[in-house]
Amino acid sequence: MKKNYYGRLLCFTLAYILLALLLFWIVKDDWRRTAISTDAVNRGGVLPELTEEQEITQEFSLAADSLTSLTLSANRQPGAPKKAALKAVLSSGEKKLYETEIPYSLIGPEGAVHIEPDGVEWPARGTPLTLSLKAEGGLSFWYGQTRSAGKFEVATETAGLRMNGQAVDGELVLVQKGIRNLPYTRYYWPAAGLLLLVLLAVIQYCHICRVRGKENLLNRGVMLMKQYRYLLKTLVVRDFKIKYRASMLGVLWSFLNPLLMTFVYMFVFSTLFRSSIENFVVYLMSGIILFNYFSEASNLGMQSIVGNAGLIKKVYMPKYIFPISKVLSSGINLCISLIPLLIMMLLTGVRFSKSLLLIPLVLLFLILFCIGVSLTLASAMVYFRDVQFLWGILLTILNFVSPIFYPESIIPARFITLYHMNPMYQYLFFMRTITLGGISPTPITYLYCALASLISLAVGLFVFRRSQSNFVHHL
Amino acid sequence: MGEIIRVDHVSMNFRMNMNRTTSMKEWTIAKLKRQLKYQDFYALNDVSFSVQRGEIIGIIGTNGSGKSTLLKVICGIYKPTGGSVVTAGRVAPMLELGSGFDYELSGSENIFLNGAIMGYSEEFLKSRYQDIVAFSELGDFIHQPIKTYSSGMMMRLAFSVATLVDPEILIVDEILAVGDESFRRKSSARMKEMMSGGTTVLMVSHDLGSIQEMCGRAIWLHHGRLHSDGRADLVCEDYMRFTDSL
Repeated sequence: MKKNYYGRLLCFTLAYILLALLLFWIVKDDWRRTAISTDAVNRGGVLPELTEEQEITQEFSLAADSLTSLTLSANRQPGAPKKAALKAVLSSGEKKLYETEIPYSLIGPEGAVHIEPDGVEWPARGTPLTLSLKAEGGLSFWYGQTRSAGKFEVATETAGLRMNGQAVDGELVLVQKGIRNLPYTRYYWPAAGLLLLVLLAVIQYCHICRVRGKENLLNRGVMLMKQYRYLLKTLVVRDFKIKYRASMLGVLWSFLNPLLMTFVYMFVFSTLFRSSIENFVVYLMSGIILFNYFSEASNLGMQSIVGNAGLIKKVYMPKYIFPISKVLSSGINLCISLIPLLIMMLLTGVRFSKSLLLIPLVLLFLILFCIGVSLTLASAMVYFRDVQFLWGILLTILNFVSPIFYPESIIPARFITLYHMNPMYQYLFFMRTITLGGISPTPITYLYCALASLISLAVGLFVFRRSQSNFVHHL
Repeated sequence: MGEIIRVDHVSMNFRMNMNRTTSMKEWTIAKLKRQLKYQDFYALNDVSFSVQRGEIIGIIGTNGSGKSTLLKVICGIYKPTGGSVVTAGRVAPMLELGSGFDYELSGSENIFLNGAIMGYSEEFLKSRYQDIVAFSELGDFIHQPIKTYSSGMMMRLAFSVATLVDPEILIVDEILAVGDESFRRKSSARMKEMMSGGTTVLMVSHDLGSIQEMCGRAIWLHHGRLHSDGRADLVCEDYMRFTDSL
């Protein structure tokens, strides 16, 4: 018995280390540095022609740790001298960082001017930089005062543009692209080690409790799970079997449903949001799949105690099983509906990267979150049947305050912090970063998702535990 | 041998909500008006006894004396409001046969579902599956959805599942025989076989004859209190005298 326990502990530690290594391999580069690209203002107007002896200066704050390119929008007049060049100087205060001459011939037909600084020792991120431009006539630059937000344009604070020393209201159409360094990779192993120690301590504590025969919630939970594992499996399989039993297409519906929903949304919103979202189909589909799962699982979980009233009144069993089994059987659906998502990614040419290996992690977070929500709702439902109607309305609200069919950029900046508090937002963000972005999100997102799941689970278990012995009197 | 069930000063208080609110609106209004009235009703009041392994105990009493509540407390369906119940074995409740059935599933799927609800493992149920099917005499119908079953077939299946899994404690609420005459004989033979085979049985019945025949000990509950506890024939005689005097 004793030997067995330490053997298992060793297995657990090994499994943990393997998983930690796998995760490290997936995230190490993405947690060390990330590529960024700033949003430019919309083209609002064109500055007067930049002739000799004239100068445009634009102050901006350095958005990355090293810039790979600055892109401007220019207009080359037909009569512009062919052999002339644009002189661009990038400086920080008095110090000149980079100087280049761009021949007019390199300015593309769309008027994109790429300045690609290299060999520069960049100052700290956020340092104000000045870009000054001199030309030899025939060239003028776009500037503007608004930014895009979905279909709309919103005025933004713009400053720092001067022409010949005269301040101009607005800002050059300027995109900064660069690499931002992230500090996270070096904390990875200390954090992983700490977590392992905490887990081992908890397991050891439970073991001591078990040996001494002391009551312990975790031990009880594990015991119940062991004993009723088969019931859980049976219920999950039953729900899944019955769901499609009388339908002709059967399981194919799990496949078709997200596809059809996506097409409906695409049809409705294509003119509104399509242009501002890259790969709108995959964006939509990932949003719809995750949100549908949340809505289905929470609804079924909420009904599960009231729906099994007959059984609960007749037979003893841990009542946790009902909401959990509903959330898990919807989870099978969720996994099936990932297949059309992957197919759609393949069709639209999304690069498959190792970050896709993180999908199970997002699903795990989401499933735990749903279990917590379902436990809370199921207990509330026993006492007040109004909860189901209230939840229907809340789900609709949640559907609109999560970025499912619209880009996050339409949210006004002053609400963005509040907007990010929505756990569904975080799960969607995570999912899209690893599918569409092909990279791992920063640890902040991991922490947030894990925290949301754990809090939801803790609240759910607490509420359910407090109220479950009275269920039978209210059913 | 040894103790298998201990019922220790168990009370079950049903707090009856006099205005039975089931919507948040009603509840809030009642709460604000301070009209939430409750009435205490003790279905069980300070009941204590202990059961040895292998004992067969009959529980008797008039309607509303708390017999069924006692069985539900022992099964774990009700959590007692006072006192405690400790059971040292697997309890198989036969309170209402077939309550765990899913009508969309087939008979065999339901055997596993019902077994799982009672907390048995897959391997154990697989080892008992053939016996259960054979005892129920359902033959090939076992693969049909049970919504197509007649009520007799359903009862036969439910009885087979409940009794062929060798529970350590069997709790029976007035269901000794089901189905047609031949199955009725078979099922009561099975019950007797279990009782003689060391299963601890708690049964509620109004049939004093069968209590006296089957049980060694009887417990008489009266208005939620333990009235008497002792040899089945003596307690039954007392009880009969009491009911005659009413």
